[in-house]
Amino acid sequence: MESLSAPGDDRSIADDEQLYRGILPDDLAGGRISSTAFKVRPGDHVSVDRGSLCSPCDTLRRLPKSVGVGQIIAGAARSTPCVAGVAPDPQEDNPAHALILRDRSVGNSQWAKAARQLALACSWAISPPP
Amino acid sequence: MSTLDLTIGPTPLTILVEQAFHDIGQCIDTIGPRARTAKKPGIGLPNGKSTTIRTVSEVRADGTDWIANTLPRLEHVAHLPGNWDGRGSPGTDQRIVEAAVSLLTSLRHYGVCGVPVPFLCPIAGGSLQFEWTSGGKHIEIEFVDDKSIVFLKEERTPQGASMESDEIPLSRIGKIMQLLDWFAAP
Repeated sequence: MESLSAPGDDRSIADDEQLYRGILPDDLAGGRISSTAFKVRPGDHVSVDRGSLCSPCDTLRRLPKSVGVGQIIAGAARSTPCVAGVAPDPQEDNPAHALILRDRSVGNSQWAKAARQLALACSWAISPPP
Repeated sequence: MSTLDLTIGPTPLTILVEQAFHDIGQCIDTIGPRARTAKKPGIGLPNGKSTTIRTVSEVRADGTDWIANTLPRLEHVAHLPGNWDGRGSPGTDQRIVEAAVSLLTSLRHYGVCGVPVPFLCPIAGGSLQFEWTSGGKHIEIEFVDDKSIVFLKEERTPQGASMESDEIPLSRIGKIMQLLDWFAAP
């Protein structure tokens, strides 16, 4: 599951830092990234990797079920309504791990919009094979 | 036209679909010319009841072929194993699969036509989502649980984009039909 910790927005991740998200085959809708790639339950957050600490290939290796890697800049994630911020969440096996924070006060319908906007703002760092 | 039997295999989902189509069979018969479907001999179900299997070509007679063509993908999502996402998500909640079948059954019952086959994506935590995109229109129907959905309706025009979303009971089938009618309209 995604991390349940609830840090606040952390400006040590600059607005222009890329965040990488492994994209699964089931997250693809006609070749584009579905909002499901960013859908998390209330209290959960979206796992990403920091571009300043790893490469998209590292993300792909860490999540072998991925077929591609999406990228979104931290500033775009922060400016998405219902996103409470972006925060580092280093793990023992992944120091680059970070979180896009789902605002705890928002309901599912509001997060549906946020997830769609995050998906639209996400581009391919590594696209899936044709 | 090739014919694909809706029987997917000896799985719980198959039984669900068979039961669902059986349940609405009589209703479809009363719709009239829109539903010129032919019944095949019933087959036995584990509970001793018989059911009616229809084929894609038969379903096409009433324009709801998109529903039958959604089922193979639903079967895939229904059988995802635990940790399918590599992040520890459980497999798809079977109550949500049943709710999805129920929704498709209702939409077929009401003859919702002219809609493309949706993308069907699993959601971490055990849920799933139907998704349609065409031109500037986009619709998502996400199952929150087996009783409620979140819909997202998005329209992009040269003037800008608009988004509407809400969480509603699954029983509000009229609202879901309204969304799909909007999507299917030219």
